[in-house]
Formats: sequence, C-alpha cells, structure tokens
Amino acid sequence: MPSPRIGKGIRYDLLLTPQFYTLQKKTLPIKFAYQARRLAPSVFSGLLEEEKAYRYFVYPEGETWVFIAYDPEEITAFLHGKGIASEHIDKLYFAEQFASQLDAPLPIDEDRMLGRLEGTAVLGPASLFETENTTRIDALQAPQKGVHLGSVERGALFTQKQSMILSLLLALLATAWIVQGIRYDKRLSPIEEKIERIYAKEPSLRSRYTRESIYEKYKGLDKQQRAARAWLSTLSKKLFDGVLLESVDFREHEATVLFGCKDANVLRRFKNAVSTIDNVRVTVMAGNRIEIKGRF
Amino acid sequence: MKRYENEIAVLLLLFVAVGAYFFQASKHTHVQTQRKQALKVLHTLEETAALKRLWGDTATIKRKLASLRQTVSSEKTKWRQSGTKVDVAYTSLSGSELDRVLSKWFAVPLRIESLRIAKETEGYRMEIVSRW
Repeated sequence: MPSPRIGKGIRYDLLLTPQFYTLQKKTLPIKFAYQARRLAPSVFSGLLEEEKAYRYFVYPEGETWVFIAYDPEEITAFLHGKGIASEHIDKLYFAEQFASQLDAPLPIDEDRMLGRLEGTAVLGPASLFETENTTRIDALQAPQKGVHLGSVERGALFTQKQSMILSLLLALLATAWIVQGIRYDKRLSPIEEKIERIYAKEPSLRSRYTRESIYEKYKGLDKQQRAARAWLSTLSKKLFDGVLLESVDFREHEATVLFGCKDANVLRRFKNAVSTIDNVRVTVMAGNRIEIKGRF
Repeated sequence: MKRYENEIAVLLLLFVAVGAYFFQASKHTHVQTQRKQALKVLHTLEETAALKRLWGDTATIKRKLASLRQTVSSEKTKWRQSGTKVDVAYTSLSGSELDRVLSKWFAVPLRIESLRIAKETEGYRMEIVSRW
C-alpha cells in the first residue's frame, strides 16, 4: 500500500482497528470514568506485554464498562512506517467505539473488513461477514471521546500538551520580564522632568562648570552667614532685664560682644545662660562686665 | 528533527525567557545606577538654584536695601553705596531702634563683612559693611 501524501499543517482523525488495542468489557459497581481508569491496569492483569508502556481508554456502554489498552509507541511506529508523522494526527478512535454503527461491515482493504460480531468490532476477511451491503467510512459518526496521540515519538521528552503548556509559561515569563525591563526606563522620567524644569528656569545651570562654580561661590557664603546670624540670634535670646549691650565687634568668622550687668547676681545668671551656647568663650571683666567671644 | 520539534520549541522559548530575564536584570541595574546619578544631579541642581535665587538675586537685594534705608531717620543714618558694597553708619540709636535695624539687616541676603556697635552717651552707634 503506497504511503499517503499529507500536506503540511493538515491533521487527521484515525480509526484504529482491533490489532492496535486490547479490549475488555466488565460489569463493575462503579459510576464514574475516573474510577474505571484506576481499575484499568488490574482489568488487563496478565493480558498485556510487560515491557510495553500501555495507556488506557475507558467508557461506559450501558451497564458495562469498556476498557481499551493501547501502546502509543506501537501506533506511532506503525504510522512512521506509513510515512505519517504523529503531528498530523489529531484524534484517535478505536473501532470498538463504532461497533454499534457497523450494521454492515466497513471495507478496510481488498481482503479485510471491519465488522461487528457478538457486539464487538472485529477485523476479519471479507468472507467472515455474510452480507452484500457495506458501510462507507464517511457515513460513520465520530464519537465525542477519543484519545490524542500527543508526542509519543520514541525518545521525545514532552507530549504536545506538555510542550504547549511549557511554551506558554515561558512565553508569559519572557513577556513579563521584557515589559518589566522596559518599564524600568520610566522610573527615570520623573527625575529627568524635574531636572529639565530647573534648566528651563536657570539655563546657565546646564553647564557643569557654571553649576559647580555657582555652588562653590554661594555654598560657603550661605553656611558662614547663616552660622553667624544664628549665633547672634541665640545670644540675643539669652538677654534679660539687667543686662545691657555695651559693644559688638563682628567680623565674618568671629565676634566679640561686651555686656554690662546690673550686679554680681545678674552677672552670674547671665554667665550661666551664655555658657550653654556652642563655640563661645566667656570672660568676666571688672565692673560686672562680661565679654563673649564666638567663632563660626 | 521533527521528532523533537516540541522540545526544540520549548528550548527556543527557554532561551528567549532566559534572554528576557537577563534583559530586565541588566535594565534594573543600569536604571538603578542612572537613577542614583540623576538624583544626585537633581539634588545639587535644586540646592544650587535655591542658593542662586537667595544670594544672587540682586533686584531683590536692592529692593530690600531701599526699604532698609527708610527704617531710621536720615539724620541718624550715613549711607554710602558703591558697586556691590554698602557701608552704613547709624548714630544715636535707641535700644528698640537697634533691635529693629539689626533684624532688618539680618533678613537681607548680604555678606556682612563687619558690624560694630558701641554704646555712647546719647545712644548706640552702629557701623555695618556689607557686600552682595
């Protein structure tokens, strides 16, 4: 039989004749398919070849459960032999699923037919089925359930479903990381906008040289002048009744202030008060006078 | 090759994901470094602009000086101003006048080079030399 030519991207459903699977029908007190699937290996105990990796397909048929054991590698190998890659296969159906529709046998090739004997789908010579009528394959109605061959190629690591899930996860991760990476750039924009606003108001500050020069010029002045004024302001807050300013000699980095006090008691109180100021040297002079020197 | 096409697809996406991870990681490091530098520049700029506005705004300084000149009567004031230098001498200031004058001078962003105050029989004498 010549190998079929299959176009790229086209996928087919396959009907598997009985030589590709082992069938068991059992009447069991179970309700759900998942319970039946769990029991499947024990149903076929001793009937299957131990070295093969079987999968199981289960469905109810009235009061009976139909158990089908199949070896995906055997099916894949067969398809390979016919030049059909597994990626061209969509769903697999088992002939047994069509047993009720096989009132007339379905010709498989010149000699063999797929028919129903005692309620079970069987593949046999045409002479086995004593009928003139045959069923056309396109007259068969596909059941709802089938199995996916997936990637059961020899040596393959993932099934098609697994690889799709993995690929999707990786694509999502990659997208998230790329978006996150692009978003990082946006963290700079508010700062850059603020810088631009300052440049718009003070264009001369665009030049690093000018900027540094202005900063150096005013930073020292600001520090020194603030310190000096704060020192004098602190000193003035220590004054109270009975203390009189006599003289001030203030220069850029130091100051000498002379106060006269009403009596020795006021002098002592005032001395205690001004001694708490940072960077002062207090000298008591004759005539209840007090000299305060400060550096800033 | 077709046999492993699922694995190849997963492997390619794995490379893309690893690449994306390193892209975001390197972006993160790069942006963090740039952000630190930009913040430093911004801080210096803001400080420089504020200093310049305070100490370099000659129009405001001149306006404040004009107002300061009116604080004490002209008989008690000797005002000399040339270029960026102001040299002022006050005489016969009462204690409250001295307080008011000093507060006003300290509110003007000028470099006070020297300030002398002396108590005399008719009040305080004050001399101040400033520059902008």
